[in-house]
Amino acid sequence: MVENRDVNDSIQAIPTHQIVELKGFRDGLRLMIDASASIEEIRVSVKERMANLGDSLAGTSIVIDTGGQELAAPDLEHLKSLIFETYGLEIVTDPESPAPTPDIQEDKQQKAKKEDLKSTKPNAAAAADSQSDVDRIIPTKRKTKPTAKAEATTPLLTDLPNREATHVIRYSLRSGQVERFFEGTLILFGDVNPGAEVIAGGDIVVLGRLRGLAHAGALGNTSAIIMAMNLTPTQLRIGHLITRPPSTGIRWSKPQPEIARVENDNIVVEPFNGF
Amino acid sequence: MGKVIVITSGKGGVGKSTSVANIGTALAMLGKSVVVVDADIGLRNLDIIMGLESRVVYNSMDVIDGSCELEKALVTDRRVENLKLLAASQRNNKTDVQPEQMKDVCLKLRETHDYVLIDSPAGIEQGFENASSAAEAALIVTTPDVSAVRDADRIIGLLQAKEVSDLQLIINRFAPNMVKKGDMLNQYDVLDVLSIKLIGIVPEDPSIVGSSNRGLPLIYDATSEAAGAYKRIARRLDGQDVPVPEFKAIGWFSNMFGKLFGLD
Repeated sequence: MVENRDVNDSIQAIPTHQIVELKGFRDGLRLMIDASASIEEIRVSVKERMANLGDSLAGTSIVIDTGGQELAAPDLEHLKSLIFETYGLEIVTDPESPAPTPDIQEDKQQKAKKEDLKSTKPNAAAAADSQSDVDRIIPTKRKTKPTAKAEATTPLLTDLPNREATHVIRYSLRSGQVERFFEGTLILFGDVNPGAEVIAGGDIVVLGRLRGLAHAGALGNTSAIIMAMNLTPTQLRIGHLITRPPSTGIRWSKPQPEIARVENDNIVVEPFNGF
Repeated sequence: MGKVIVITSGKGGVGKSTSVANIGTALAMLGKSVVVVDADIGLRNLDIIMGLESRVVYNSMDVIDGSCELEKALVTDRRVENLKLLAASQRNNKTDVQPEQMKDVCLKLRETHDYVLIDSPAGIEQGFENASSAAEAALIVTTPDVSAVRDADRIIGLLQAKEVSDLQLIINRFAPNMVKKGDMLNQYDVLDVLSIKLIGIVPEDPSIVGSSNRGLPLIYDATSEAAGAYKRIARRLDGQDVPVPEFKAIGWFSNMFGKLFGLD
């Protein structure tokens, strides 16, 4: 955990006053809205949050989550049309309608509410995921209920994004197959063949040959990395950046692990010799 | 009880129908009772390649809609008696048949024959769904081209999702001279991506065009290298252990000496 924090500290330090938050889950994206803000504020925040995503998310589905708070029906409609028309995202109804959690007291501060929202949602998503054929490693810390006041007020808030799930895939991906997780690190034991895609909100590690397309930090996180035992992709994407290998590529005579990360707004690939 | 095998590729023009005609004939020549089924409804070809076009009276569509008995719709080959063809309808469309109906026909054929070889249409749509509905094994045909390999990879993924696990690869139109020049993928490149079992490599053979047009499967040409390859594939399919020979590039020097001294 300590090591993780070091690596990711700067990644997603989300200011606590944020009105709109975009998080990725297995079933798609979730736009978390603080409904106590005015519709105008929400609208501006949505635009701000989505502006730097480019069109990388077009066609995916999104859930609008007000964390159990009421949002006036016309306002909701307005938001839906804004998101759909501007960003090409499909709005789906929330599968698990968020009911207000009973243990939230009205007099608790906004911060505590946020904390609760953040920690419970991934758990719900994880539960829904349990039937899938993809294993998930969920750090034990995640399972602790955030009801305890101590948990909610500890300075752990900034490293919350670190406690994301890890998705483990134990097969190769063939052309046309896509594995997409908007949350957490994706580890694949196998190859990603040309024409296959791996997309993750966090890092991507391929313990095999990566010959297809990989998109790490798919929600705009440019500190995500892509690593593979043999990195010969058709295209690499980290956050909003896209790169492809040079057509007359320099290839190592012997395949070796390589790592791709962002340096000065460029994706650089280099041999991996440990951190 | 026989075995239903689909021959498929994803990409068109890589030699599915040719492979079905030749492997089917070779298996029949080994004494097996074989039915080849043309599943390319609306674009039927297999009857032409096998030289049976003029003998087709009924097709699989007639069997499915009940206007003809299954046995009656089978056309017997001109040369090998235990080889039968179930032709496709040329008037209909792929969506006129449901995978379940195709499956019923194939399972019935399996009861009375050793091998049911299904010639799948190109593509990954309903035609492929129909062709693979009853398959317990598949032969994937690819040429050593990047695009054909990509499509084969896609098809393999789809077959694995349908839990067809007995998948074997035929590399067709293999040209050792082009591989040597670096213009063509070699078999190791292909197998590296597709990672399924190789059942045979068929070398490029210009006489395949003529044989298809004449309706005489290449397999009858004893001098053809491709025919030999198909015969070996048939034997491997039938459970025999036949090694895959190394196809070597032929330069003008070895070519001349080969001709002079009858070396091969």
